[in-house]
Amino acid sequence: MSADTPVGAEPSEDPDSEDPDSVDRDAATPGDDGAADDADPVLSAEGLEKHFEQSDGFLDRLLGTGGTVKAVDGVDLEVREGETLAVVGESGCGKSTLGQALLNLHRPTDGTVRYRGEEITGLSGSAMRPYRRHLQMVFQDPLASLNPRKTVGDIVIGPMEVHDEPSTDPDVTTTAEVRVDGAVTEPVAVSVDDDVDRAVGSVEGVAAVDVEVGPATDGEGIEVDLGEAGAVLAATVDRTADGYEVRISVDASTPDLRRYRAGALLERVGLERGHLDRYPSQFSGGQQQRVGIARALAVEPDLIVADEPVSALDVSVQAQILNLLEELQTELGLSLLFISHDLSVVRQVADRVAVMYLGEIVETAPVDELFAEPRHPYTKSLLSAVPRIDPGDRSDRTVLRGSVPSPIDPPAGCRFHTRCPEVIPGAGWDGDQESFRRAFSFRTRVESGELEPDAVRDRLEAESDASATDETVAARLLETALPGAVDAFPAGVTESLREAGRLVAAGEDDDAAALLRETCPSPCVDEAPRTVETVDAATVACHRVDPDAPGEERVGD
Amino acid sequence: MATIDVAAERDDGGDPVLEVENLHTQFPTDRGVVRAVDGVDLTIESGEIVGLVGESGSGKSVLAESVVGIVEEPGEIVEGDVRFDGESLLAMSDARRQAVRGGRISMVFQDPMNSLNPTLTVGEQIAETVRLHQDVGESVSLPAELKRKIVGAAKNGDAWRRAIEMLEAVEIPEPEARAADFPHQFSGGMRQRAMIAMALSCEPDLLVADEPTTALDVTIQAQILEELEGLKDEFDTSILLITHDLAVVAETCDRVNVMYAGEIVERAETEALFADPQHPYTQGLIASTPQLDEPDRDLQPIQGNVPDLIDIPYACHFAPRCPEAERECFEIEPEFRPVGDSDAPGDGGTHEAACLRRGPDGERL
Repeated sequence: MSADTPVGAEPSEDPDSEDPDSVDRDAATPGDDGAADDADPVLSAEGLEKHFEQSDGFLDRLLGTGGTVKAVDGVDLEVREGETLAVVGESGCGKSTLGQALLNLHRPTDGTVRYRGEEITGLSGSAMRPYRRHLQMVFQDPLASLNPRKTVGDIVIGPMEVHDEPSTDPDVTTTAEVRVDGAVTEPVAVSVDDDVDRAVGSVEGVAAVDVEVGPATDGEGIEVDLGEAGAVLAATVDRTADGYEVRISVDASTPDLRRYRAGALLERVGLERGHLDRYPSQFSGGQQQRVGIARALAVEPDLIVADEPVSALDVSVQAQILNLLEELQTELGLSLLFISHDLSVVRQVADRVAVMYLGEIVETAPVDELFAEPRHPYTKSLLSAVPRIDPGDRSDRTVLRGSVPSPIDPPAGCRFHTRCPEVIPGAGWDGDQESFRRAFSFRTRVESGELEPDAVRDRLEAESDASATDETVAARLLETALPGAVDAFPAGVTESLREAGRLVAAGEDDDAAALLRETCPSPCVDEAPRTVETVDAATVACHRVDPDAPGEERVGD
Repeated sequence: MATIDVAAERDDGGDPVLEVENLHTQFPTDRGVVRAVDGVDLTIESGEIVGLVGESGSGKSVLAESVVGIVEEPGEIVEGDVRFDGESLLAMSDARRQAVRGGRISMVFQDPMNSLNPTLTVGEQIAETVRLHQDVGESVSLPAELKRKIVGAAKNGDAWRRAIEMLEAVEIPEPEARAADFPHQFSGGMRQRAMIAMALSCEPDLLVADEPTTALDVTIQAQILEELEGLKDEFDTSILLITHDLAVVAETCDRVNVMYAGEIVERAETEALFADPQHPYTQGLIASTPQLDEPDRDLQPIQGNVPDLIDIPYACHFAPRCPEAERECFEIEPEFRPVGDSDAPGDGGTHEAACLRRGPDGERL
């Protein structure tokens, strides 16, 4: 067995894969000490961070003017053997950056990434190369991710050239499916060379060759038909005492082998061998995405990171691609990290789901669990925002106000508190949660400095042709920035809100913010929630779920 | 420039706001004539939200452009009519059409970044529309406009005030301050709101919204759709909502038209359409859409792709992809036939599909 495998990067195929009905089976898997690796997830991340410096240069750094975009900020994640983990979140939540940081396409700022227990964080290009064989990617925009000047054949062959494929995998068993024509009466034994998996793709660790044996046309002996594979395989027939011995071996140059395999991959993803010489622009969007998938499969990876693979496609085509991914996964035992913003699609493909918000994972759960009983308020809001075809499936919608805050300066404590409908009132608040939410929105807006009393003053003056006092400006600010009426709060709160309005009108934002912090305190701002495990291996980062969380006086729950 | 007073002619009679009749819009190309819209009928009554749903390449955007009169060269409307309030938009003079467009019909596009002028503040862009279409006593002569673009508009003018009110109506926080921002300073959702604010600033009778939420996140989409419905009531505007998203249509529209390869293939009240889809294409679309609440249902994609709209040689454009197609489907042009159960709730007896294999017994293939 010619085991020219990359150093230290050999995946351990599941050793107990079922025994196929084969004529000849290469059962030997020397050097496979993989049993211990089974416990390791295919890919795992711990405390993964990716920050982007915004500063343009020396001066920015000196003055501290440039910010840091915390795209991924402390993510723990595990993709297990054969599963589909979906990462879902709104645009700007850092899900794509997470996918790229996991594959070392971005060097992480902090944290570790492991492939089957081996750390791959921040490896250099050449050190990373052996791992890239196992970790592939499918992109959102199929056309933009395919080189327009290369043929589809070149595109699919590319990864094979980089990784010096096709090589033989010692863990792959080679076998033949033999059909013997009835006219051949003597027994036929077929043996398959160990390295035939270079030409024939393996399914669940088995590379099978189709062999048809019939009588030779000249009447002497037998003839072996290998079908399409005959282009790269050869059969040698030996006459023995009691029958025939057929030996199948590879008979093609490496470039021919690659081309043949590229064709097989195209067929596997629903295209045709004849498409090898076409250019990407000659295909429709769905077909282009199929090419992207064929390219990812070219080096027989363990894990594919699919970043919004169907977002650019029409629904009917989207369904084709989703079904294809599912088939390939079952057939090849692939693990899939599926990044998407579309919850309906996630529901369809995922085994587990991780919900991401502003660079953090706020909830993970098995898919049925997450959709049946979402626990994090953000997950709940996301689910309720998805439009439903069937009126019976619609429930009262929680429409989230505002958009995702900037990841340069994410909110303190729980990052979702600025939009959270369930934000927890702090100690001392004596209204209900709903009124707290309203007052708290005002606090958030004052703290963010987005209120502009001068613009309000200009408008008031334009409307009335008289100069506006701080009092009227404050009244207008409260009217526009505070949801609901200002006097629908407990008396002390109303007074504080009015006072805060006056302070903002007078340009004393800091004092106003301080006053509001005192009036409507919340543990959600003061302390970041722990990630707690709930039943069934789900995790949630929310004070409401954490039994030990601060803020024991939760009014109005 | 002569101001043409179109506002005076509003009438709230029972006539449809928009009638599209047998519309054909074609684009000559080197390879042949692209029949992007191939004989479409569509009506929108006052105060209705009508959905137009289809995949990319179905011609739905070209239909919208034909209605608004902004079909790009070399495309042209070769046959049919578009009547707005009973008056043909195709027959009216350019000046008059220009006054109607923007004033009484307006449009919201999918990509707000490419539809807003990056060099003008958002407030100024809305104010400009107001000045052009409403009599606010501010000159729209070239020197006056130039002065405003260079020096900045008077912040206490009526047009500017109206712009702020509109931004407020679409729930942009701090509209006074944000009106002076440039489009790039807005987030995607806010830009789309600004577009809607601009489109509604003249209180149009008809708003054509082409994929208004496609580029947005679900949470923002929910906000915008809720807002569109609210604004429809507030401004008494009819809306033509064009989208590829069945669920958006199902939640927002009163009536739905399903479009495929240049033709409408099915139309019905929203409830009836989704409760009992009839045309094989509509059925296929629904079967291939992943649904949140039906996780165990297998997706059943429609085989093949949307055809090139050049010289489609078969009568029913969906026939080659249709699981139920017979030989006749390729040869006989399907007419609209009543389908569905007209006694079902929400049907209203207006459920029609253009398919030979559907319709009353006896007519059905």
